[in-house]
Amino acid sequence: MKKIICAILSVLLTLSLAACGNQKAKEASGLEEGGDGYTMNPDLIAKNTEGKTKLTLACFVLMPDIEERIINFNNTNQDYYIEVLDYSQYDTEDDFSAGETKLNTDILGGNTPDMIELGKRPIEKYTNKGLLQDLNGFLETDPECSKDDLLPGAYQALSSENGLYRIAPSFTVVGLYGRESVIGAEQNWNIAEMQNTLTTKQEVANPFINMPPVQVLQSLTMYTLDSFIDRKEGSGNFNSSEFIQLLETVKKFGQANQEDYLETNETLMNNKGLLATIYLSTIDQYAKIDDELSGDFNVIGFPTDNGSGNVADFQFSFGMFADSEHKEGCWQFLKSFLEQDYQQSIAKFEIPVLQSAFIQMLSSSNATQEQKDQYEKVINAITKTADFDGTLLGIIEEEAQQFLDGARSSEETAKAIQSRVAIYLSENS
Amino acid sequence: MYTKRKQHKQNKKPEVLFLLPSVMGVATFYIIPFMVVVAYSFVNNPMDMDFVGLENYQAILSTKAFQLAVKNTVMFSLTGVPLAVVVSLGLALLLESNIPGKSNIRTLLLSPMMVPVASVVLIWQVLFASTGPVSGFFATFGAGNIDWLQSEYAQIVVVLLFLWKNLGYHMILFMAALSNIPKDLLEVAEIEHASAWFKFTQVKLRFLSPTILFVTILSLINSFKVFREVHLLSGDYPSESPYVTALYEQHI
Repeated sequence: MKKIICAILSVLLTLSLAACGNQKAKEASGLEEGGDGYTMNPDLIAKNTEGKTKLTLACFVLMPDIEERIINFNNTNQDYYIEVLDYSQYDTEDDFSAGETKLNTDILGGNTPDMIELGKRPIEKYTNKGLLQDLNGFLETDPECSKDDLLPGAYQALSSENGLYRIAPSFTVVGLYGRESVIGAEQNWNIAEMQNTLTTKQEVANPFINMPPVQVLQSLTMYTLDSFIDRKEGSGNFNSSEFIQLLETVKKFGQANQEDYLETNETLMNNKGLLATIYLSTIDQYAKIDDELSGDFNVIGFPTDNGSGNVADFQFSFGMFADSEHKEGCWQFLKSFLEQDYQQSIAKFEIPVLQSAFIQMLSSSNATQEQKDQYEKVINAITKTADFDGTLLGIIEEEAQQFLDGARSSEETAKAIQSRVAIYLSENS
Repeated sequence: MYTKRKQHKQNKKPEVLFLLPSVMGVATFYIIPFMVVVAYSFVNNPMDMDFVGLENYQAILSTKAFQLAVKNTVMFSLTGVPLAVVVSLGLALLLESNIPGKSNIRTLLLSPMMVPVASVVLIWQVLFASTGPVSGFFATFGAGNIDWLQSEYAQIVVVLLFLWKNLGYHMILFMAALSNIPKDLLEVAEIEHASAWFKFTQVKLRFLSPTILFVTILSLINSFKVFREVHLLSGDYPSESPYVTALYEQHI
């Protein structure tokens, strides 16, 4: 009798342990129960999937036009359909990166999705570990779409050192702009030249319009991080004289007490400001600003030692995991972003990556030929994208705040940043 | 004899059944994951599972962050562990003698054990801030403002916090060991006019040696797990000085 009771107790205990784990796994997956995060369009759930192969797309947030592409793909493609895995639902108020952690856990556990919406996160996290597929191979063999069909600047900005790991349908250009008669007609400048210009115009009340010192620092580092870091080697040089000079420029010329929002172009025209950040999209926007500044308009970019200081900002980009068993199907979806009709439709709001759609946008605009030429020059000079690394920028901002508050010198700040950033870069190399 | 052996075997069955849940739990949550992790250390990634030999070990040993973490952890252990043993032994010997307010002092030294680290870290951050009282104290001797937590002195602060947190527990262990030393041996030494140093080294230390070994091993293990203190004091990515292997593991 005793033995029977013992046996029953042992079996019950074992089963309850297993059930606990199962319940936790279900709760953790959260896909059925939903959670925090953006509200997914219910039409994204594909209908008529019989006979079709499933492709999974990991995402954190999708805009309506991207959702429409997915729905369109599901309705028109005969061989594949897409299941969207919304990882933003795992994010909480205490932990904004819980979704990313869940995705990383799934990858480590062998449940890698087929594709991923990369957003603005640094792709080196995935490319350094060989997780993403190089898409150059598809561009070389695809009869409908090749590398030469893309804007050279966009292609270069999307590419990494070792290949092309993502496709984006459109982008904007981020840079600094001002009046050509004040900042010059050059298409780029470095820190020393920018500081020189600011020094000669010290009487101007708001050198950086609508940008407090922390935001100036954030802009100047976020869009020029590649000058200070080498992700492949896992090293940084934030204790260089250029970065120290940048810190001193920010402190000297950033306006700490800007309370009221200033109308940018009016402030420039009244000589009360020197530089402002531009998020340049269509030719019509460029022409509008040029008209407001009476033709005295130059997009000079962020200070950099090489190339253009303007950077491409891709709001959405999509990659394919190297582990996917349906690469052909994934490419069919990624390629759909480069279709002529779609590219022409988004050319109303952002810069299309397809060259023919870009030319179409220029030709259908009412801008002057000179404006079109200048605009094209800015776009074609693009070679890189913004490096939005939250951890890196957080370290820089945290340390720089003490310098901006006057608690330590620029050299000490640069040394402290270098010390912390070196560890971060080394871990992720 | 055969019946006894058969009975003994039959009695083993319920024992085995009782042990089964624990064995399964340990296997599921400890042994199997450990073996899986060891297996993963010899492949390129968990998806491809291509055998790469010792490449992963070579990669991690050549990573600067790992080298720094190991160096700092070793330095921390070499500093913190001997101090933890010696100071707690000293305190135990002090409290063993008849000093006034012995029980109040003992309570004071044990109270850090009750306080969660997260609650106390804020006070330590204020104490050791560049404009905090500790910096102010050193400033009276001519030193400038020292940012203790973001400089090469950060490890000193972590060692002090580690000692402050653990001394009470180690002291209790030593006090228990001291109370178990046979009193007659000490009386004989007293009668023979042995010096205090002789009594300590030739009598007490011999009886304390197992406890010293235990406290040393315990401190060493705790020194490798000092993640909370560093993370809460210095943040996610601290400067080089307090960066230890526990942080590296957490980031990786």
